[in-house]
Amino acid sequence: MGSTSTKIKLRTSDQKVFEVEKAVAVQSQTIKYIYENGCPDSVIHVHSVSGDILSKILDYCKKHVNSAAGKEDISPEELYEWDANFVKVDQNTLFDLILAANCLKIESLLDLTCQTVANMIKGKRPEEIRTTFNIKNDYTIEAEEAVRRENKWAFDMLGGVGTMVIEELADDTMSKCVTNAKSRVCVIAANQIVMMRSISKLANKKSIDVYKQPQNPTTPRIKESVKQINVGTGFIELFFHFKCKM
Amino acid sequence: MQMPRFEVPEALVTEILSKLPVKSLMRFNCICKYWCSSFRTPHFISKHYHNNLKNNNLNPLLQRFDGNANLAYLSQLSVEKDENFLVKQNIRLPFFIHDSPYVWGACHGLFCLHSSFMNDMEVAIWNPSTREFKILPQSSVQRPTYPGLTCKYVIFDCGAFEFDFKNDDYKFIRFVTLCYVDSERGIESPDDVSQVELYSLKCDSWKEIPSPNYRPLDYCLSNNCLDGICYWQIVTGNSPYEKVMILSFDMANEKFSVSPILEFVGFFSKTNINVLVFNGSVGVLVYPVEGIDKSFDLWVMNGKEWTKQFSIESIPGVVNPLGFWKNNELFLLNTNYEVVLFDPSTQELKVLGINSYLDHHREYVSLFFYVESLVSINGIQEHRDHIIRQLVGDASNNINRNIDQVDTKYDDG
Repeated sequence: MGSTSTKIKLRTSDQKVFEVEKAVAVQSQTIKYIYENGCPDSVIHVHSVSGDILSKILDYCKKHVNSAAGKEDISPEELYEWDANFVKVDQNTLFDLILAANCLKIESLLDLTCQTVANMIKGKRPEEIRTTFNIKNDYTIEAEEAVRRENKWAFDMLGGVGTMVIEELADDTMSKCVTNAKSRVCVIAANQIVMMRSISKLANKKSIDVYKQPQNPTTPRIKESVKQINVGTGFIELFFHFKCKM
Repeated sequence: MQMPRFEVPEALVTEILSKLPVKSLMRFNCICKYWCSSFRTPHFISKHYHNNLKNNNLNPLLQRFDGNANLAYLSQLSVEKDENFLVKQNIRLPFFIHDSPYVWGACHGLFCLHSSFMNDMEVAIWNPSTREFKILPQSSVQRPTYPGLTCKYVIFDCGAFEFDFKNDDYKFIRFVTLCYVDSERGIESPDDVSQVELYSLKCDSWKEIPSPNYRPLDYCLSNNCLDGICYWQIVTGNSPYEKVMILSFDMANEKFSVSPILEFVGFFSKTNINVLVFNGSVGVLVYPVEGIDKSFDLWVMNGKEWTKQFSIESIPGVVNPLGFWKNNELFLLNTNYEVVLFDPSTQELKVLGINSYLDHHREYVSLFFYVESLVSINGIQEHRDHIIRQLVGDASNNINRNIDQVDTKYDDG
């Protein structure tokens, strides 16, 4: 019942009125419910959403309705890109979008915005998270230590991007390897022999150049003696990712 | 970059947290007691798992055997867009170092591993995301006794690991063969006895299951369970009139049943048949033993009927399949012992640059896929008893203090 161009009127918390196509507005389960169970001609109040935020949300809903209905020629990858740009907003706006998506019950938008925040916080330290979410630490010092120890590996900065298998070095100069933020491998050995290679090149490399770390860390690294290392057997893990002074 | 403060209702904080990788959540255990306990609730664990399932966040795990060093290990492969399945991390499981264990899973992000040494019955359940593992207790199932005979060997045949949703329990089933010898003269008895044992994680105990009249074969790709039911291949009849069927076991009602016969073209002895789970159905991948240009047929069981789902014609230079990835792409092992990925829509065969380090152990290469989960198995953390992930030649994870740590950030993938 009703033509496809039925419009629904929405009034925001700051008294702005939006007139939207029904198909777009009912992306919100809340609006859909009110529309279907109330008087279809009256204005629907969305009390907790401001005009600016609702405007953005309606952009999102329109884009998704049009793409699903085939009205817009947009591939799934392009829609994904559009969504990624949609959430490139300041953090206050992002959180307002989350609250509004929750209140208006728009599941895909809630998923998108929450995933965006999750991606922002995932690499953070516990102290930063407490600040962000305003959480009081109710552990005693000993209890917190115990929990940290139990999950010690999650505090390891080892692992993840930049790790890979390389051929083992022939002698015992290897103690560990790290990568720096620029994805170059920096290998630090017990006697300070360092080597550098970009990760992608190492993948198929049969031998690696060796550089010596100078005593004074502020002097630039020099290729003191180049030593070809031959491929050994077995393997070593390469560890990750923090900035080291080059 | 400073993170501002936010006033967010608890339900939304949960919504955000349930989208985090397990490593972040493990680290955030120490934020406050409430967060720590909330990550352990069935509601959160389920929500977190279903988010990963919904986004099809599959993680590949490659099992290899280093013939030179005589070491078995698992490798985590990257799923980042331009990393081409780079090996991220190598994992050695201390209780299965010198053999390449049988692996089943993943079931809700959990794997089950069994020693492949003859006579060795060691089994473990492992969650690679939370790094928790549990070695199962020894089986308490009574071996049948016969006058004048002693049970000398208990040999593992095949198994499966799956979730029983009716009883909210993870179960492991295994078929064993018992070999008897004459008690006095030590001569082996020609008759073997078959037994079936079932382990329940909830009860942390084993029990015997009445054995079906079949000896199943454990030839499967990645995983042989779906929706609470386990599947194996059974072969009946004598050469060259063999018949292939699928034996299934329902974990909830603990009953066996048999599928109709699979009619395929070719001789059984010249054909490889792997049971697998594909796009929500159980099926078999059929391909020739010989030849290096292989064609693959995928048959799927729909109720009481077998239907051929699709065929992949002639992939050059491959030896055996390893498992399906997303969009019908197929991982395979090629004649140079490298892992390759075939895309049937473009017919492109991509070499991934992952060596399987093998001389004679081609059959020990397997690929498994898991979705991260927080499911707890009442086990212990990897680091407590055994250091599993380590450099060969350096067991320490200490950070070199000569390096400045500026703006520390964790890489949680």
